[in-house]
Amino acid sequence: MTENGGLPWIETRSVRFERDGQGYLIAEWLGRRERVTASRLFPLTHPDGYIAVQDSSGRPLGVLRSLEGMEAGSRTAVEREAGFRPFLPRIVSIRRIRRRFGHWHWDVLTDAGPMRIRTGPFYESIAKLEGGLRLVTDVTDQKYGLPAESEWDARSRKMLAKWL
Amino acid sequence: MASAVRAERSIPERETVLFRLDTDASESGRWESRSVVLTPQALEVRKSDGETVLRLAVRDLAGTAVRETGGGAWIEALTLDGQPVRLGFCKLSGIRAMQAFDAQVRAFLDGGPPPESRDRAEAGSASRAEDHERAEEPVRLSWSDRLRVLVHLARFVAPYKRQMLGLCGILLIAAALEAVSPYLMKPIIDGGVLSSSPAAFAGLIGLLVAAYVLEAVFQVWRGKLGIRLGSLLVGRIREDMFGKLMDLPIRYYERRKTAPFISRIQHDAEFVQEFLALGMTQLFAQFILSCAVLAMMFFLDWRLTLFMLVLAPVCLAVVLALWPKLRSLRNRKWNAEYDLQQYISEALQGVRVIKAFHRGETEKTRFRTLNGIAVGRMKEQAVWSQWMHSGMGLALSLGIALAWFVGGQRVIDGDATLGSVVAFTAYFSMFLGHLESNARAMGWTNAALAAADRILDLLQAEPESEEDGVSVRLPQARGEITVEDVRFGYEQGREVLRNVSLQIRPGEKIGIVGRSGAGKSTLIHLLCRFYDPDAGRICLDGIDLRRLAKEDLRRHVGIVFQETYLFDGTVAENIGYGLPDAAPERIVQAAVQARAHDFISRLPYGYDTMVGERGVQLSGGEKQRISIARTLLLNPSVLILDEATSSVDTETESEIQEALERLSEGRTTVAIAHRLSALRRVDRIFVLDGGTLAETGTHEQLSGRDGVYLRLLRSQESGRPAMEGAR
Ligand SMILES: Nc1ncnc2c1ncn2[C@@H]1O[C@H](COP(=O)(O)OP(=O)(O)O)[C@@H](O)[C@H]1O
Ligand SMILES: [Mg+2]
Repeated sequence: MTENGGLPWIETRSVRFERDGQGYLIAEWLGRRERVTASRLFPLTHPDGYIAVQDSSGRPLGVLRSLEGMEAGSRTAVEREAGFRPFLPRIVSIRRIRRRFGHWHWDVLTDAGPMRIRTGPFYESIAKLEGGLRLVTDVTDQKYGLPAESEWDARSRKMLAKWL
Repeated sequence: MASAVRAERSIPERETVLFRLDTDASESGRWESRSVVLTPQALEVRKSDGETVLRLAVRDLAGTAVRETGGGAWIEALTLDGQPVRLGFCKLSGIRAMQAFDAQVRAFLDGGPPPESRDRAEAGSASRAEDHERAEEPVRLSWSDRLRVLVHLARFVAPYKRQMLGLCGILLIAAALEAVSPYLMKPIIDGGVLSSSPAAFAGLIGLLVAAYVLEAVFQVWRGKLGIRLGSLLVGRIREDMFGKLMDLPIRYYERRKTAPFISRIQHDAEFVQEFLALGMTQLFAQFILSCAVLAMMFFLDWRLTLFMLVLAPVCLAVVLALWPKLRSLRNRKWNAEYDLQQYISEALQGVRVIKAFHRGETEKTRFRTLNGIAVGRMKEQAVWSQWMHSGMGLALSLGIALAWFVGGQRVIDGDATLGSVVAFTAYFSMFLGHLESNARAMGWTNAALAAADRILDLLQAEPESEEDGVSVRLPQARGEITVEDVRFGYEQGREVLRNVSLQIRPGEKIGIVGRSGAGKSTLIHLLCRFYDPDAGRICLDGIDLRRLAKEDLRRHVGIVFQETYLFDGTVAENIGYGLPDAAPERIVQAAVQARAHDFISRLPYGYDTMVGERGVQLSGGEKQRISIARTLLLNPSVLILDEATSSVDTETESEIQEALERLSEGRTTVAIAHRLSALRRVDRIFVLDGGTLAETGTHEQLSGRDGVYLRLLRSQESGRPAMEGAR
């Protein structure tokens, strides 16, 4: 892909993505066509951009700064692939949080569908990042993004307000 | 297998499922429950309704593979023509099951029995699955759990049974005295004041005063006993907690911050102690007293009592409605304060970085924000409790006014004497007072139980993995190390070491090289048993580290870390850390060997110079040499150096290197070195790459081969002059 001044950025318009029959991501650029993987470099703070593309042996090919302006089919294909690398569901709304002796049971809706999460005490399970974003870690070590307070809906706000 | 083949004849073919894996998302990343199943004929992907969406015949199949993505993994099938085919995706909680399935399929394809590690993996997946299931189901245990915590707490009290019983006795007597004194009002008014009999009056007043005095005496006595018992308890709880913290495996600390531990040891213990020493007995005595007071009220005027009791459910409803609000206010306040405390401790630890990056003002702003939140919540909570308090007081006064109103009516009607109504209202206000303090005690109890729960959570955490069954002693070690097929990851879903096997002969000098992040330090951590491998085993002199007595392991395996840590204390104390009774000669000898003696001699107070926070500041290289001396003092059979010379300049490095070379005589040495030049004289070099053992050989062998080592060597040789030129 393109190298401009040593920076790894890939020109968004120069590349097309699609998914093959086996479920893998295919990239097409500069007349080449091969299987690639895509991963997010900032899955929590910038989940929609900064997508690193590697060839099938893991060699880095470059980084897509943003998917803006990419043709819709390409975009869906690369977004879906990168959404699993890493897999970091973002909590969209919280239906209920209950404390059951030492563990907190969350009933949440994430961008990957509804989930039930069990965490330890809040002070050990929730880390707050710059900008108000939070990272929740459950008892199985699975991590979830929790948007800043201003983005919570009324119900989530109510549930979280009991603790945070 | 045989049974599977037999079954095939009777039931339709597709029902013979050998192994099965449930997946969370399809190969194209759509969220749907599917399963991947292995039958004797094929590997199939099925939808939840049983429809097969993909079928790969076993004869075309080379194997399967797990591709971790972080937070989850894909499972792939590999066909014989070399094509991978994606089968599905699992979240982290399903990854163990996926690994087990992968191993099962590969074993099946190899035609052999399922692999050794399968049991472990399956046991893992089973327990994980169970864990997961429990995560799915809300657990309703609260009351029995409360009981469990209480029972555990009772264990702390058990050694002080006599004192506890004494305390209860005193409380009962005090309660009895308290319950009796208002009753004296009745004879004082009816028999003394109203019938104008001075002698009886004076006698009754005397009795009342005596009751009050006794009450006060018992109160002081109770306090004294409670305080003594409490201090005994808090000491013991803290001791247990700290002891536990020292015994916990490193894994326990990995993703925990340290500030909560300080708070747990200090505040939670105090809280629980107060509850154990005073709260529990007080709750008990108050309950008894409330019953006694209620009985007295019935005795004095049962109709009035019944009337007043009708109001009780109303009060209860109001309290129950407000309770959750108050609790959530407390939680919010606590969490905000915790954040603040955490922030301060982190800012202080990182104060150098903050200054170096001129971030002081930014940090102040951040502090202001956090502090603002904490103060706001404190205010919020205080305002609410103020309102609650006043409201409660008003309610109580109104209740007493009502009792006077109804009781007075009855005196006017001639249904009761004035004395009995005075005594009744006295009891009634006492009863209401107890209700209030009982409600407060309930809150207190809950908070104490929560603190106790945090403590128990710590005390019940699994201690450092003990030796399996009987531990094997090893008085003398030859220093032979075998690593067999070891797999390890710090966290679920991210393997750091894969199938590493190696053998180190007694007395051999080994170098480990690899890119940063290749897993060199991790391998060392496993050798020292800071962690246990997820699969495979590591042996010292043929004994599995898991079975080797821990003290022998620590004595025979000495390590110098990449990051040095010196405790607050003198240089000598730091060198002698592993051998507290070491004679000064030994300490000096170790320092000489570690090339530390010269600079230590130049320190203001020699070996007794304080280092660390309150003492002199040492350079990285000096600290490193002290920590090398600390390890050498133990005279271990196996010496492990993790980039021990990375923080010193080249000159000192060669000096230390030379020293280490002499030291490694007669013992097994495993050295990780950043600069490959430091490893020219080792017997063999292991090259780690991406968590696997890529190459083995001498420097000459490896540099003559086109591999990872040669690439590393080239990059250093080309990079070095430039770097040194820049210095
Ligand atoms: N305590 C830890 N928790 C999680 N991951 C870790 C931990 N320590 C090291 N790692 C990861 O393990 C990998 C190997 O690290 P390490 O063994 O320290 O490499 P090196 O070869 O540089 O010594 C790295 O990817 C690192 O990020
Ligand atoms: Mg390292």
